[in-house]
Amino acid sequence: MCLWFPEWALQRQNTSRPADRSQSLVVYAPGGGGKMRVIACSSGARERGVLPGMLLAEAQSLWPASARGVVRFELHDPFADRQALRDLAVWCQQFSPLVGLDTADTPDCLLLDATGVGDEEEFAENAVDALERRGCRVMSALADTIGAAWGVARYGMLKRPATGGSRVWIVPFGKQVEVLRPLPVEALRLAEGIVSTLHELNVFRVDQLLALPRSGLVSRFGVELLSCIDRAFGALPEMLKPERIVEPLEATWDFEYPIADGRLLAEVIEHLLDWLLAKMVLDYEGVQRLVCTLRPVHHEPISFLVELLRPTALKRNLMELVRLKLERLKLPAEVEALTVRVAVVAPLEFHQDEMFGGGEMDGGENAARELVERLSNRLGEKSVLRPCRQPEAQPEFAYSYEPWMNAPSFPSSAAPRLTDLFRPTLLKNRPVPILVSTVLDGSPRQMHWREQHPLVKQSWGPERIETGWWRGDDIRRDYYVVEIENGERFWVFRNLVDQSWFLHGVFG
Amino acid sequence: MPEQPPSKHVRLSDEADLPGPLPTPRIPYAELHCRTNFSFLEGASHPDELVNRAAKLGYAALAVTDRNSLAGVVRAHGAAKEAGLKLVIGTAITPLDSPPMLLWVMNRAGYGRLSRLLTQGCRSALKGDGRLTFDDVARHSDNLLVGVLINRDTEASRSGTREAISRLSACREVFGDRCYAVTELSRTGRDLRWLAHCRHLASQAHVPLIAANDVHYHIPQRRALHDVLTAIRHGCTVADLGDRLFPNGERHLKSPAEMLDLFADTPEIVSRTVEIADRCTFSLDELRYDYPVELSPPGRTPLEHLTDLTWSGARDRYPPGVPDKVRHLIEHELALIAELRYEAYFLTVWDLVRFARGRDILCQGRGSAANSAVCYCLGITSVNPEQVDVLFERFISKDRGEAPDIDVDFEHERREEVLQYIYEKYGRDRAGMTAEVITYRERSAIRDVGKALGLSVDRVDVLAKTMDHHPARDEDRLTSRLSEGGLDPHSRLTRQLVWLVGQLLGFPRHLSQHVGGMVMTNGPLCELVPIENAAMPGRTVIQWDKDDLDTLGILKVDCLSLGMLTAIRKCIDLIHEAGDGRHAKLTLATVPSEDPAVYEMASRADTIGVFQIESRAQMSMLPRLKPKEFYDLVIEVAIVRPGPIQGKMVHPYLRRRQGKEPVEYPSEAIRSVLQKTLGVPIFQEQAMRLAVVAAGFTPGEADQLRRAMGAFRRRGIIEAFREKLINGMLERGYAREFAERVYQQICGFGEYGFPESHAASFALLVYVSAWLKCHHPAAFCAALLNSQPMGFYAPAQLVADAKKHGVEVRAIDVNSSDWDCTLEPPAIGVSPVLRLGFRLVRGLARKYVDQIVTARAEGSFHAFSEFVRRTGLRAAALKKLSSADVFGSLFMDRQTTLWRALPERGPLTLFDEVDRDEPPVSLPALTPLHEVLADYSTAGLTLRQHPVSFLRSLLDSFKITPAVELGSMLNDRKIRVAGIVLLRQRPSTANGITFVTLEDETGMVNLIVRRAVWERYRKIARRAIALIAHGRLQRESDIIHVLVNRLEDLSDRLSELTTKSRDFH
Repeated sequence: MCLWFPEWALQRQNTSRPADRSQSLVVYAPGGGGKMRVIACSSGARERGVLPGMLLAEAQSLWPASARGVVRFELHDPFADRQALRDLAVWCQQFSPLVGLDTADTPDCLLLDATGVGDEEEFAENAVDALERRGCRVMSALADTIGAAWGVARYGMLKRPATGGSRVWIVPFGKQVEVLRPLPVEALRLAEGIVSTLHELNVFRVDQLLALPRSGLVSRFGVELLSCIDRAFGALPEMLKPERIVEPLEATWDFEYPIADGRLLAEVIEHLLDWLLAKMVLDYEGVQRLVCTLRPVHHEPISFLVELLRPTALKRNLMELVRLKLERLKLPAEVEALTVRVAVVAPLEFHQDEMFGGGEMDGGENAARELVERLSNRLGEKSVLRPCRQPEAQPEFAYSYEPWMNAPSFPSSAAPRLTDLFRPTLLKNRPVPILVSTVLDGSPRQMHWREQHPLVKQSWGPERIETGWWRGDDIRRDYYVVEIENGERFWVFRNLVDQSWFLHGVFG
Repeated sequence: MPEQPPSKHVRLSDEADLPGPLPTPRIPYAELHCRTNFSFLEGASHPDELVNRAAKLGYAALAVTDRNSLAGVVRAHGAAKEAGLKLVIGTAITPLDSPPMLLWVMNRAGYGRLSRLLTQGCRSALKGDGRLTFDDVARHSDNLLVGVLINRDTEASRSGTREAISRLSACREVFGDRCYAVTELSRTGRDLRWLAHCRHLASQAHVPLIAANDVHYHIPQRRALHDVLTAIRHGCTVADLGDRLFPNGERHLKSPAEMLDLFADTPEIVSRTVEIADRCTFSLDELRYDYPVELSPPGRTPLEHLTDLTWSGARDRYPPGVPDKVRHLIEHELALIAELRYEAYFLTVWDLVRFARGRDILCQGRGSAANSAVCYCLGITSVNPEQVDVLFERFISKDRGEAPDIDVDFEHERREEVLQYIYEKYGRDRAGMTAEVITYRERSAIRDVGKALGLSVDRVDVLAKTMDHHPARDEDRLTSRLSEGGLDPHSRLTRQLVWLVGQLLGFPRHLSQHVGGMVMTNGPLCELVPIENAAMPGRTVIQWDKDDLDTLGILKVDCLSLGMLTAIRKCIDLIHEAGDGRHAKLTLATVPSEDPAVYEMASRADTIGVFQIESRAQMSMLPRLKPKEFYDLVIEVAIVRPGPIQGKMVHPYLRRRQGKEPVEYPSEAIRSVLQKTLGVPIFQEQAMRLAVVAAGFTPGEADQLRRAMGAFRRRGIIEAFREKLINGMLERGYAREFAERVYQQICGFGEYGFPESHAASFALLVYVSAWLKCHHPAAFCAALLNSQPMGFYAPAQLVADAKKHGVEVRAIDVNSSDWDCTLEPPAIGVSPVLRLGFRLVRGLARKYVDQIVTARAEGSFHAFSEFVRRTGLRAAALKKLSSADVFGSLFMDRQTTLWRALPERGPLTLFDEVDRDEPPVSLPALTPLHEVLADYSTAGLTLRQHPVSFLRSLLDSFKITPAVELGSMLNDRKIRVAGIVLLRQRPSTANGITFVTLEDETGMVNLIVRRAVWERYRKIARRAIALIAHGRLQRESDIIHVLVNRLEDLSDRLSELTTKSRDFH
């Protein structure tokens, strides 16, 4: 049996987000020249004027900016489409043990083996019913051969005889030739080039094709055309390639009686890890992310995540991090089961030990990495940060902090370009307004700040910074380094827009 | 003394908020390091902006030092002359093996050196780049001053310092006392330490130090634009530029006082700049042009030679004797030419035309100087001065120091031969192609600024598209266009975009090759102007464009290409071949003139295929204008242009011509300008002259006004001109209402007016092509088909039109057709028959056709297999031929031949057997509609029925009127029409109205679609290949339009129809 999901790319989006079904949907993909083009759209979008092939921005301009809730634009994800279809194939194994995808590059059909299902009509109706309940739009046909079922499902609906309300066209045994004859030649699963040449020959229907001499077809289209015909008619066998369920790297432990003892939990996790790592070690793979799920009695399951900078296959490292997490976990009740799942697997990197010493620096780096891993897992990823220089003229933007776990490598020590810049060791979060009296050339003479009025002993500058107009207000400042009588140095600037003064940093 | 050339750029200055004229500086200063926007994407100000600002700040001099280029110096030169500022010519280069340096020109010899050096650098590098070594510079160092820029990195280390000193010393050894070191303080922190470092280097190397400011723009307000340009150069957004941006906006022209403040401790390095400027005495005015000497035979002066040629030409033109009028004209013109010393120029053009004639290449001159009796006698033009009132002085005026302008159009397929002749005659070192400065227009500016501000590629695309063919013209309209494209008009982003785009418009973006401007010199060209590689391999282009050459008075000839000349020449050849050979071949000048049948045909707007007047706008004008004589064609060509249309000149002219309105002139002065055109300005020069005679503008100001109208309109500058014009006219006693109207008219002529001289030359081609169409419709159609792509109409319409005129058209056939369309003798009667050629078959390579024609020389083909054997064509070619249905003479239809063509055949001997073994096939027959659609998809036309005719019974049931019946229907009647969309056009003059032309089997229908209707049916209106239109009939003197209020898609019914409509919207 063939189950065809028309416009699968759209259907997949809709089934994955059933709440948004009322929205118009436009799926786009990168076309030539780095431009996004629409590749599929829902009927609502079509009514609005969207056509496949249109530029995305052109399609977007068809809705007013305020109407964002009624339409959704999604990037086409062929991988996810295929994956979703595979998942559906696995789900369909409840109807037939053998379920496969069609062989196209972007498959949108499922093929089910209906051998020995008993009442074919009931079988088909059940499958279609179940799929429609899942929210799928499906056209289906059941026939002796894969080719015939495929062709009838897609192209047969217009030619379909009135058969008492059944949603599936069941082609009677041995009747596939008869049913296929009036259908378009595309129903034979032909390559695009062959179809267009046949069209040029004014051959549009299967029966017209069959009227041509077979020998003439071979010399013109190669054997592929004949095999397609023969497979559809059953003269050549065709195998169904079933989808297999991929076993997740996951292990579960059911406790005989619920427990709450952390040490015991850790021991069980360690045990499960042993088992999982043993499976992975053959492929030289390590764990980069681990998810542990605990099921407290009468409560929602609790999960925690262990994440590493580099994949590891060492149980010791993993367990150390697991323990750190466990310590902070509050259990609402005793746990009756726990699952350990390896969420991200990555190939292990091997570092050859150097023969003579030298490994010490590396050891230092490893130690630092372990520390970062531990701290990040303990305190949360966003709590372990490191500063980065940004090539920006405006001091507030000249550095930033980023989570250490995001960056796999350590910061490079490459020298920043502006080596000779005077920059304070401590920058105020926000420039502090101050008053400054100046001498004739505009440089500061006395500061007035927090009831103090230090005289400026020496000043350097100005360093003029004018930038950032694209971010918001145009920044225009003259910075001075000032040294007051007691030797303290400050970084102050005059806002050139309104001549006001600010303190922006302190030199240590 | 000749009047100074007008400045090429008039812009509203951004300087309004800057202090006015400044007091004379305490210490004079000359800025010697300054980039204009001809350092593409580096400089953020026009040359004239920099010059004017420098003059206002009281600079002693300004040096223009663009990177590897002298492209901007002429514009700076023109502005500097006007502003009375001393200009130093220079450049900035970065040799591969030494620090960047500035080179300044001391005198003419030094200029030649510099130009040669830059040529060498540009020729050995990719386009727009320079590649030089220090040795190259050393070899060209005579008569040049050098300023070595000290690199910031040298400060970091001791070795860097040592290295810098040795580089500086090496430079001093080459240039001696002509060597300087340059220091620049940009307030980027630790300026004083940096200055001390520079002083240390200079004194160690014994080189005097001077101050400069690395100027990139004329006023600080250009900082943001400069940031954007930097982003465009790096291909990223401004936000991503990081430290590739200058941290502040200090690189503007600073007042001398400010410079002195910066270098307060060392005033001598500021004042020393003037010393350098004083050592540079060169001015571009010294580049007096030497004409090539080989123009006249030895022993004869060019003037004598030109005079001889003119008179002997006159005798040939007027065999019965030169008419008195013409004789006087010639004498007068020759005297003027002698006085202005333009003889060499005329000889140059004559030489090219003579060469083309010798090769049987059709050509015609146009342009200001072309409209002369001398040019007619020399054979440069074919417009008989007896017929047209030529007033030579109007175009070559004694007061204006401009070079004469003659453009020569050549057949587009053969212009290359003429260019090669020039290179051969003068040598590649003495002839070069003029540059064309490609500048930012609305669309490109939006695109680049949008990207720099971080808009997504497709958003930028949509915004740029909203600019298509509708120049925004001013900031308000730009804002509304952007909000059409989905931007919030009040957002900061939109405001920034509008502001930046407004400034960027008109900025040069890169140098391209001018379509045909050639410069020829007597000495080496590379000492006149640097030559660089063009984008096309093997081509070179000079760094100046035609305006630059004009300013300096340098000779150039425009060799342009024109498709219609190709078609006319091919048509004349066809007529000659088809004729009995008794008649001499026609030429542009010998086509019988003033044939009433031609004017009668034009008045009916029966002009498909005729040069210029075949466009829809022209066609709707013809029945109203009803041309009766040649000059009417001149007006017809000029009047249907955006200029006169925007200036609302068309209707007044028509009313006056039809006698519905009296022709009157407010004054004698205006009568002298407008008399030929019934008091309505129609030609560009009339509009400009009006400003002169009626408002007291100088010719230079009038030209500035025109240019200001053409460019992006900034509020302010237009207002100023408007006031001046209207006040000037009021002062001279004209009514305000009249003054306003003249202003409107001049506005219209901004960019889109047509000068009379061009119109006259074009009108001749109009007449000739109309004559050919009128008397030789078959040959004319064949020639047009053989010259495609050109003109407004696709082959299908040209062929349909020929058939309508009684031409028998025969299908493409392997036994009769050549590559080109040909004429065949008729079965009965005398009119030749048009045989379509293989060139119409889409995607068929010419070599296959040559194989067919060669094989056919031994006799016609009788069977498909024989055809395949004799031609040796393979499956791919056979497939193409089969789809095109060219085996009619073998009585085989396209499916059957395609079936036979498909197998890829092995060695030829096996082939017959393959064919003989094959059982006969019976393929389903195509329906007539399918045959028609297949014809369209392979050749773009059909000789069978019109596709719409298949839908006629359906259309009848929809109560749809065929095109041919519209003529008998009442005005303002509700009506429905249907047809294939031939073209969509939305002229910028039409207020958002789109003109759509439909074609059914009986003729064409012109639709007018208002913006609101267009938007409502946007999807259909933009994409449908066939339409049903509901609307009202509008009729005005035989011109019928349908004003549309509803559109329906007819495409599905003709879904496979692949004829491409030509979209111009």
